Amino acid sequence: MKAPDITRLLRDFALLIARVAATYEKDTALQEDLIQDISLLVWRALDSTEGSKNQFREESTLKTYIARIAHNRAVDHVIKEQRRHATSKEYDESSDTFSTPANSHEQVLDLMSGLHKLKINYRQVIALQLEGFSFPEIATTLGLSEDAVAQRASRAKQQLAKLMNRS
Amino acid sequence: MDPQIEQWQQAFKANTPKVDTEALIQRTRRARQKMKWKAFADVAGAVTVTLFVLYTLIFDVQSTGQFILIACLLPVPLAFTVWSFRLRHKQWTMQTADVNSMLNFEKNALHKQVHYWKVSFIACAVMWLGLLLLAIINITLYATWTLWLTQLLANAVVVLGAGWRYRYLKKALPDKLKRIDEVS
Repeated sequence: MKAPDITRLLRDFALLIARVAATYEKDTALQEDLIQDISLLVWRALDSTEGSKNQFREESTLKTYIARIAHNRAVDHVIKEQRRHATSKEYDESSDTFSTPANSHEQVLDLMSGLHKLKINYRQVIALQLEGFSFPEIATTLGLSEDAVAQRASRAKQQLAKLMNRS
Repeated sequence: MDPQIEQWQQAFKANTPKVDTEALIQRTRRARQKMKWKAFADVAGAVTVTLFVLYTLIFDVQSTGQFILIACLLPVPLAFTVWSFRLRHKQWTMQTADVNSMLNFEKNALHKQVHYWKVSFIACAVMWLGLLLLAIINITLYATWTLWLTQLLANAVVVLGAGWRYRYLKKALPDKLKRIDEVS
């Protein structure tokens, strides 16, 4: 794919990438690094594809492909961060102390706070669902069966609702 | 659609972090360029080393022993380049694969890392024992204490280093695997 096409696609999907990064990393500086890393991977991936018309016949296929790269990189980021903080347990503690400012965005922040407290395998599924992906698309992104996705989605929804009602 | 999910969906999108898309594209473009130059430098380095070894083999060799030694060295930089290229390609493929495949790849890589250090430790230990045997023979015959003791000590550091790394990685493996299992 040519550079102008790639920049156009990055422009189109930058917000999706940013939301994936925000789902996995709440530290703003690390979030920015993660957005940059994902964008670079997406660029490289699109650079090595032959062309949008050949490989991505539909918009949804391309969106799923980018979401797959973004989630893949974000999960890798979480594993590396956990390893980095393995001795101090700083990462886990910070995950449980997400601040909840009392302003008009309180409900929104509660959702993100709840998402950060979910186990990653549930967080992945619900974040993709919130992004508007169907179960078959989520299954392709995560490498799971549709049944497993449906099961996780149901549990994730229950747990998220419980967490948000508690806060 | 489930009204609860629909409500969360709106909240989720409303909470999108602010992104300066143009700056992000510029930074990504520069990083991509840098990555390409790095890959080019790696290949250029390997080709230069190979050409240098080839030049030495053709023009600078003065004995059959030297010829055999340099001929054996010739494929090393090439093999290393091919190996690192294949490894990077595999890692790259995994970065665009689904999350589950990437996690399985990471688990496999951790096992391989421990195995690599185990083999390295055993190989270093065997070579050290060979050196010890040579040292005993030489010291007994020629009393060359300083030379052989220095060599034994220097190589013992390498053996101990490889052993320590192997033990450390083996001990840390279950924890690392557990962390991957937790996210899969």
